[in-house]
Amino acid sequence: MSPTAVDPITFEVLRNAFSAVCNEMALVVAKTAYSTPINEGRDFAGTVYDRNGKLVAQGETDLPAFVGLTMLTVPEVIRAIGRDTMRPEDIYMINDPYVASTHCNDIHLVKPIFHEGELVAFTSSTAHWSDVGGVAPGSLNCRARSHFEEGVRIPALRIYREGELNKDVLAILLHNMRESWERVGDLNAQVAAVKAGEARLHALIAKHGADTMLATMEEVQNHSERLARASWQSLPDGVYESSDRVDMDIHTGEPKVIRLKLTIAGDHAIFDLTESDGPAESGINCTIAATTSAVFLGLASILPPMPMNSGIMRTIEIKARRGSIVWAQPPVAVSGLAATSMECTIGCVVQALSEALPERGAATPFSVLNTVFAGFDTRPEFQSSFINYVWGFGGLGAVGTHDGANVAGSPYTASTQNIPAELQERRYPVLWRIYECLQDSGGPGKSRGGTGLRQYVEFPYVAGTISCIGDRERFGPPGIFGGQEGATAGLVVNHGTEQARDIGIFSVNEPADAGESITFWSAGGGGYGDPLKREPERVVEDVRDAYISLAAARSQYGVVVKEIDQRQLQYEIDEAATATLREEMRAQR
Amino acid sequence: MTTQLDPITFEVLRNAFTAACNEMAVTVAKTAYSTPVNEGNDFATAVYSLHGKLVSQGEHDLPAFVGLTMLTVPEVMHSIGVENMAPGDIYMINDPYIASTHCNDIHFIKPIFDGDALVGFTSCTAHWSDVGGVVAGSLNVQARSHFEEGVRIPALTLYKRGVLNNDVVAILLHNMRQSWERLGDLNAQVAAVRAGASRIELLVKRYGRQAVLDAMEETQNYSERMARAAFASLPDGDYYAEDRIDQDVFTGEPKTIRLKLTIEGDHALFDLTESDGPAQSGINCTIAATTSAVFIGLAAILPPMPINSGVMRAIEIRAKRGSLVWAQPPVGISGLAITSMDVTMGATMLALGQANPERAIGLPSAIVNSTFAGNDPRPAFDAPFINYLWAFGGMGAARDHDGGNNVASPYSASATNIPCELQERRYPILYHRYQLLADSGGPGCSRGGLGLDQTIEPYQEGTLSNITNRERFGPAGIFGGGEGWTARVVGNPETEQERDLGTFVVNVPVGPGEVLSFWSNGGGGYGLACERPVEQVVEDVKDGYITEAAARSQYGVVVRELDRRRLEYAVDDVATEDLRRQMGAVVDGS
Repeated sequence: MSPTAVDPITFEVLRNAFSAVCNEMALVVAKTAYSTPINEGRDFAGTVYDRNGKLVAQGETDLPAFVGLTMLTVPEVIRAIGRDTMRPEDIYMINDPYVASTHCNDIHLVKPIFHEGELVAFTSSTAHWSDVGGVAPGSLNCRARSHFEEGVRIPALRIYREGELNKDVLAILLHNMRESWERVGDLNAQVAAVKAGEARLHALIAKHGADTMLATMEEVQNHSERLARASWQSLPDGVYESSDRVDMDIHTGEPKVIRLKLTIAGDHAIFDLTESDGPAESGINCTIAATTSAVFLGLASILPPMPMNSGIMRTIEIKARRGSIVWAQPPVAVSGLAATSMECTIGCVVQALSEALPERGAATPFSVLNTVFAGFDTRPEFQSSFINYVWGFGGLGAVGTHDGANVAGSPYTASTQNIPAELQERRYPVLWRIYECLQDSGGPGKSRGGTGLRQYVEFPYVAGTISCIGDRERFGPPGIFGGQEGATAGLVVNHGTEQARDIGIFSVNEPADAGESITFWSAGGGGYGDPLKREPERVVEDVRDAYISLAAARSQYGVVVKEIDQRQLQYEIDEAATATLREEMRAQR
Repeated sequence: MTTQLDPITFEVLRNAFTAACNEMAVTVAKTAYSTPVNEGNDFATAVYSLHGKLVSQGEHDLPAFVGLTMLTVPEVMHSIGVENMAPGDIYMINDPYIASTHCNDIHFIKPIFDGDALVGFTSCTAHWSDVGGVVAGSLNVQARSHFEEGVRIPALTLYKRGVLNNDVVAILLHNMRQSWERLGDLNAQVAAVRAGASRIELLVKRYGRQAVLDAMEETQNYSERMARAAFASLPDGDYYAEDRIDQDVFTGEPKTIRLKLTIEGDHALFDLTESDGPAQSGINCTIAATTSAVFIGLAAILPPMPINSGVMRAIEIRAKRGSLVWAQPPVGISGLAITSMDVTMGATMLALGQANPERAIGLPSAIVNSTFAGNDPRPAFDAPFINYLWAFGGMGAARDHDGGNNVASPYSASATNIPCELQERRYPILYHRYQLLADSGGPGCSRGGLGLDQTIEPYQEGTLSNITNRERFGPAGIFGGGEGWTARVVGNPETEQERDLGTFVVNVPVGPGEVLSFWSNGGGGYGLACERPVEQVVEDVKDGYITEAAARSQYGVVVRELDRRRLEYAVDDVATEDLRRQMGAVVDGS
């Protein structure tokens, strides 16, 4: 198709319309999917692609983690299905981690959009199904040694062929996933979403013409490319190195390290991950799609805002070793990647870019704690198996101008929402006792890291099993520019009792009896800058808010605070003692 | 249905059905890629009537698949819908809970048409080396649910009017190990059901559709008559037997199957309702496998008859849904063949043996089913491997002969030993020993068959998974016969590094430098050992089947070695008579 000049007004109208299409797809999924992590947790994305499978737009409330990987998804679908055999009423499905996705839970539906017999675009919906089979209910099996223990791996296939459902494929899926009635609901929600996106794109074509739409899809990417190039141009050329590590490969007990060498040269950047460790024996390997996503998320966190699409991809190069921890090859296990290797890759990117751009730099955030309580709910009104996702959000890394947010989603899950305790209690046999900001968990710094979250959940009714995949139980999220690490995460059954069992955050199918409980806490974010330079007034404010204790004010920030009246939140700074203490602490470094 | 068939045509057609099965069997054996299929003969083929009733099975097929395939085609008909079936279709299923054993056993079913009219079905079942799940080889005795055991395939249309559903194949291959092998297995079975169908089509062309349909019915009627005659010949009454699985590995407790057999006139009721509840580990039996187990048990004891759905009309099986013998999703089942299925068969054999002592036999060994898996980095290979290491064992003794040595159990009677040389050629292992285990046969007037000492050494690292039974309780003898030896899997036997690897384990790391022994059971004995003719005991000593010590302690026969190399032994008649008298036997002439 010949290039069509698009006037700036139409360009902006269509550019925003593409996002609106994605937002509508998001709404459809959020309102109709059956999996709680989707409908309440918003673990999904809706996207629009051009006819070559290039990402044009994503929804504004979508899961950032899905951005980079969806850049690989549609090209893989085009390759595997064959462009020439695509038909208007087809819908494709894929979750294969090694070629185009994260872990098996993330299911992609892709719909080709035709206009007058010609392929013009794709819509896609990605969502995290609560279960896709495998050993651990919830399918997040950080102890898996291969994908055969993690759930169903779906290559690119036609779930609908010319409008006709491939019932046999669906039957296999439902026979190999838990709570299959929920899975049907998720599938139908995503089908509805990609069709809703299609209808909107057809409306745009009707209004603006196919040529204009196609040209705008191209121009949207050019626009982002220009923004990205301008960003790189504004940064000092150079080589920036960073590393971050996953606590451990559970089968060896050793940490796994991701190493990044970022080269900024003129208007483009190379993210070289080739020095990263080899594959892990457990389920913490990163797929190339997730690694790509991680790089995108990292740069989106630090660079000035720009619409995320394939245009940005043109300005960067990602290098990695096939078979290493950041480029998993079958059959190594991947189900726990999101909280581990993917998160650490983001951490590396954030650190390296922060050095290049300190004023937008940030310390490293917590890693999400994906906890799943599963079993059979024997209460008369339930009488069914359940898979209860309990996410633990945590502290974001501090930035130069402000503290890290408390109990937030990490950059890669920024759109996900806390699933309300009341809703959890309504749907699952659990009872929340504590959901609170964890005092003193934020990494000390001139800007403080956000606090982690502590949750205490009882299982008053039925026995079940607990599985958890998180990170930063051993090494807290690093601080930056003199800021310190956030506090580490943990998970203990019957915490504080004689029956306490420290099962940790790399656990699978740990039994819990009715009447037992879990207490688990996520990491705080890393701090930014020297904590001894934090204004004493802000330290006192943190004491008032109970984000930090009096003891921590003194030991971490060198601020001596006297409590006047705790109930009235009256505190006083001992300025002389503070000055002396800070002097001593500096001297001891 | 009115049957106009003359006896000659009936016999011709009845045997033609069997021949069609045999041809399907050859097709699979020659073309499948899985070693357990192409070398181990772990497959079955069958012809069904248009009502989904089993008409005929192959003569060299795995008996274990017989009973269950009675449920398979009806399930396919129910699920796909007969009205939706068309020429060129091929269906596929392995769903254990409805119509199969474990997920490894994959069934392909082809409808046969004459024009638009359905004539019957052909089917081919084979054990794929791997169908996914935690354990390479998919036999995961420690599975708590089928989600740990591999891909569960509901009845689906693999070929619709001759067109392959590529997406189904793709999803299967992405979830099974060594997918190139799986594709070979799939194509072999597709070729088999097509070959069988073309044979039946030829029969229709030659004899006419009605004659074929009539012969299918009459074949079942014939077996029904034989079965009814067999039951009528047995004394009416209630017979009770039980058998047990060593342990549910998650509780350490045995699981018991209890059978009350009622023979009344020309039919029999197999009541398993008093059997234990479900196991937590992968040893639960599916109703299809339970049905099979009953069939195999009765086929082992009753006089020979063509096994088909006609026999089913002469019996009734009762069980409790959700119990050990009628698994409901999602309980683990992948280890059923050697555990719950085997002991259900055992209980059936024991109960029928009481009713029919002259055809009764002691219990057979449980096959030691081990898989050694890993990656073979040798340049010529450079690939992952899954090496099935079956160890067959001793058959139970019958009244008039000893149990066979190192043979497959009745449920896997057609399975053949995979030659050591072939194993060594394909997999990174070296055989040290493949020999009979002296003294392992259950003592009896007829001796149980001997178990096997299969000893290998791997020369690559890998993982070993074992599923077998009778490590704790040997196969029972009958009418005073003794138990066969228990089974064991041992690392570095008879050295300081000896370790018991256990028979209910998965993914145990093993590697070069460790010798691995798989010792299977001997079969149960029949009758009192001290009544065994002395010359047979001496013959066993000569053959090395029993030691002189066992001749004395088990059989009360005092044998003195004269020249071992020349196999010359002398019996001390006085000492023997004395010893046997002490053992309480009635000695000849006394």
